[in-house]
Amino acid sequence: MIRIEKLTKSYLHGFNRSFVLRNISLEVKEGEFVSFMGPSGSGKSTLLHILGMLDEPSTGEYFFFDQPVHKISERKRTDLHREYIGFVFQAYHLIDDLTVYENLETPLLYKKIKGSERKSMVAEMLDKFNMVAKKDLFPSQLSGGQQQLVGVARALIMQPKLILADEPTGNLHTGHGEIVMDWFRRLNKEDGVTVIQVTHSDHWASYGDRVIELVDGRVERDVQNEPRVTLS
Amino acid sequence: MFRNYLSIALRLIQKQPGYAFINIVGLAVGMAAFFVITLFISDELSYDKHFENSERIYRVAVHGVTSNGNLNTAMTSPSWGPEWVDEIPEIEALVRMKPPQQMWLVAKDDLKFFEKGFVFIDSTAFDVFSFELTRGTQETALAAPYSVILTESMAAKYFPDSDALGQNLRLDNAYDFTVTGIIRDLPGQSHFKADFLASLSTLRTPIYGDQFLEQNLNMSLYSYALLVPGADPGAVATKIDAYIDRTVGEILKSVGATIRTALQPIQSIHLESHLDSEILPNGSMGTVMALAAIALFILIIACINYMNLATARSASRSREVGIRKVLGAERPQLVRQFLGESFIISMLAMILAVVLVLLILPAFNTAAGKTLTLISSGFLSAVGLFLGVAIVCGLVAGSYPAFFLSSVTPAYALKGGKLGSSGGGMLRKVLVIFQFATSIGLIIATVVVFRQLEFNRNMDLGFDQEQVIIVQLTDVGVRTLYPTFRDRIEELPSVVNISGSSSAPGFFVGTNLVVPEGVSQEETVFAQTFFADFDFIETLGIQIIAGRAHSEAHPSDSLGAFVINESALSEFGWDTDPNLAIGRQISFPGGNFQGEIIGVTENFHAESLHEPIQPALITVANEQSFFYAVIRIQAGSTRDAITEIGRVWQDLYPAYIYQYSFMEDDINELYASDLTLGRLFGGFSFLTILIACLGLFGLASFTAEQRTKEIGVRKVMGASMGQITFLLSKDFARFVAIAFVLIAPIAWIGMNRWLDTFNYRVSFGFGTLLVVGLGVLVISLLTVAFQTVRASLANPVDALKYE
Repeated sequence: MIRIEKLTKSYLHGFNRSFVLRNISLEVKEGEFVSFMGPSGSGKSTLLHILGMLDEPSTGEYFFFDQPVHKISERKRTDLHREYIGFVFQAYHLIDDLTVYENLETPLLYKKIKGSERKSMVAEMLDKFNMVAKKDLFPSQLSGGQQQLVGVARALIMQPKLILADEPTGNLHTGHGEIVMDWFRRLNKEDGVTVIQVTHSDHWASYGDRVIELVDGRVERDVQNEPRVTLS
Repeated sequence: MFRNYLSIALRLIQKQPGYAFINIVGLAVGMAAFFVITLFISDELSYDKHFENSERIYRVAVHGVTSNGNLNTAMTSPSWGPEWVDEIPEIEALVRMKPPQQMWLVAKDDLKFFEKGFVFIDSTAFDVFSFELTRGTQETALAAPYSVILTESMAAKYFPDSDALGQNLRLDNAYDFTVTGIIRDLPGQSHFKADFLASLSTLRTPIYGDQFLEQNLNMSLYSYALLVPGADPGAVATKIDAYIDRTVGEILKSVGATIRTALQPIQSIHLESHLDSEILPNGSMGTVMALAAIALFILIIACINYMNLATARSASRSREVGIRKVLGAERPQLVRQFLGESFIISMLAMILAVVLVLLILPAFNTAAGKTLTLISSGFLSAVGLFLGVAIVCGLVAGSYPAFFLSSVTPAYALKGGKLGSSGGGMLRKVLVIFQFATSIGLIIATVVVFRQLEFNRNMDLGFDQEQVIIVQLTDVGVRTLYPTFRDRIEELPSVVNISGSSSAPGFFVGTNLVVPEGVSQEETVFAQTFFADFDFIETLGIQIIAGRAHSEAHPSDSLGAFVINESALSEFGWDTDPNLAIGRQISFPGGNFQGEIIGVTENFHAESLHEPIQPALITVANEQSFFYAVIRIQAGSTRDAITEIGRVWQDLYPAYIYQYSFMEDDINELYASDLTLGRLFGGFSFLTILIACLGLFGLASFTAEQRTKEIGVRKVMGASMGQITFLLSKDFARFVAIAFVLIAPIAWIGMNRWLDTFNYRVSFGFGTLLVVGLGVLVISLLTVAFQTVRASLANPVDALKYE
């Protein structure tokens, strides 16, 4: 599904070029659940953003379903990412001025889905996440965990093939974190959705089946987790 | 999708009402000013366009050179015209018109009014001007002497209960006219006013003397020619010149004068013609252009506010942009969203602007002497204008934030990337500086205009214009009884002195050709002439510097004794020592009036300070020359004087209207257009500074917000409240300083050029500029003070937690 070759990302500071990512090559297959780990500044989030087409690499190649992302137009990239990718953020990143309902609806609007279909898709998500009663509230009226559930629901509403999550549980209490991570695992196991998350914690990394550790913009370690015994 | 944008926009307004208020009010004020000025300009540009064929109608103007000075008049001689139609094929029709010098007294029994719009006009009037006759016959209505056509509103005024046609109107208490037709009212946008069209042939009769219409070298009426399509007005003027050379060339040559005619397109007269003897005071293209520029500037300034505040807020909006991009938004969709928001703001502003226009218009009409309404240029064009301005403002104001915000990469935006401080910051600074430069420039202009007007008011005119009432002696009948009137006025306790005169400073000053001693008949000089009573010099308080004033003790003074002013000495080519002038002779051309100099006065300004001092002469004449009674009254008894004089008038002249004015007002009236200019500059500079300060207030609040962390760190490091306030105010002070440096030289040059149109002007130097600059600085610092002080008071712990 994802293949990157010799990817670098660097910024110019005066006359010095500082590298965030150095020559990274890796491959992620459809249906995997991958965790990026590593210390602050190791480039995990940058890598995630590049994979999500929110940022561009400085050099190197990126193939998404065999399409050369580093070569295609911005419009085409937007199409790809609209079609296949859902994003979840540490800071939730809901639109403050829209209600829960409208936040969920926004990606559908950008995909120009018809009104009636949109309604049923949003209703289904609200139902799935037990948020029907909260649909007219604004993000600021929800707890952090509830906001992140909206964030997850919003990422899922387009039925993406790939979910990218940037420390999705970073701001949450453990209890809320469990709920969110359970959702990711369920999607991964039941629907075959590929999940890539960035995390600092071994606990949350253990939900996945592969851990890639980055240090100073390089892949330090790439290991498969022990199969985990799960409840339910 | 649209609903999504709309709800975001409306919620933003709800959530940040202060921000929305600044945006909407700022934009609305700018739009309102723009609308008002547009109404004014379209009114000014519409003059004389309502006549059919108006693009083919020309007025004949006369430019000449005499041995002394130039002649530039809008008037022609009475006998000219009728023959041109036969001789010059390009002239399809021609009409001569004689409006009143001042006003005519028109009466229907006891209904009496002074009318400015009573004009005598050729029976060819309908061939040139498309007057719409609703009653009467076009061919015959103006054929016979003593015929008059009324406008519908005049018919209603004089004949409210009966049919006007066939009835009589009495002019000047002496001449009866028969109403032979009624025309529709003419629009006010014309360089002449015509409420009554009386047959020109009437003027052959005693009103102006039998020979009036045969006079061939006396510029005293106006001629309008309708040219055939495609005719060259220059060529027509050449043919008219040939006619003049043939008929009066010899006479002109004998006095060393040449005259040439020019054809003025009637549509251009109101804004571009500034000849002697214009019928009504004209407008000026310069004012129209200046106002157009001001209108545009104010609108731009208001749009800049929106752009400024929007880019200042971009840090908080950029996260939303990032999210939307993550959710699949393409750039055009984001551009549409932000433009949509600014459209909503500009539509709301437009609605508020229309309300503001309704509130401003009465005051504007008073200041500009207009009767504009919201839809005075038509309902549809008004709606089109409002919508058009709202759309353009929405586009202009929204374009920068729209394209700027939508261009950011989502990863950067989501980190809360500070967009405002980079490229947007630079642009914002330039825009703020532009706003302040405009405000400062307009304020400087206002200050200079009012200082000059104040200077005019306080200028020593060479006579005492205070406590002087001018009473108009409009008619032969009134003037005949003047000696009785004078004697009775002199007895009044509230009156100091009275004198009759042919000219009144500030109101009307006549000029005559004079032949001074030692100079040939050909080298005549124009001089302001006051045919007056013995007491004229004393009544006005004009200072004698040599010889004496007229006095009843010297009865021979009434047989040709002149008092001249200092300026006349040099203009006459005499020695500048006034004492040497006493006893010298002057005469009027033709030699029918001659006399000697008995006194010399200081120079006095009988006309506007725009004009240089002219030679003047005062001589005693008979009461039939007195068009005005100049009455000096006791200080503090103005009210008594007016009633007492009125009582004498009623007693002596029951049939006439008592018309008086204060000389001081008449003189101020000379600067009416300067005053209008000053008021307009004043009003609009107030608006620009208001809008600029609104924007500055918004900007200061966002700057304080953006620098919260910096302020927190500085306070932890021990910065005092004063230091923080200074830190935040410093930037704004710098904007004002840069704006000042940029605009001050331009304002200085521009306003000195305006002042140069006065022959007597205030000096205007660096001091004025500096005071205005400092004033604007103080205003802007006060505007940002609320925000900066609040920021400096904030608890540093809160500030640091914020990040």
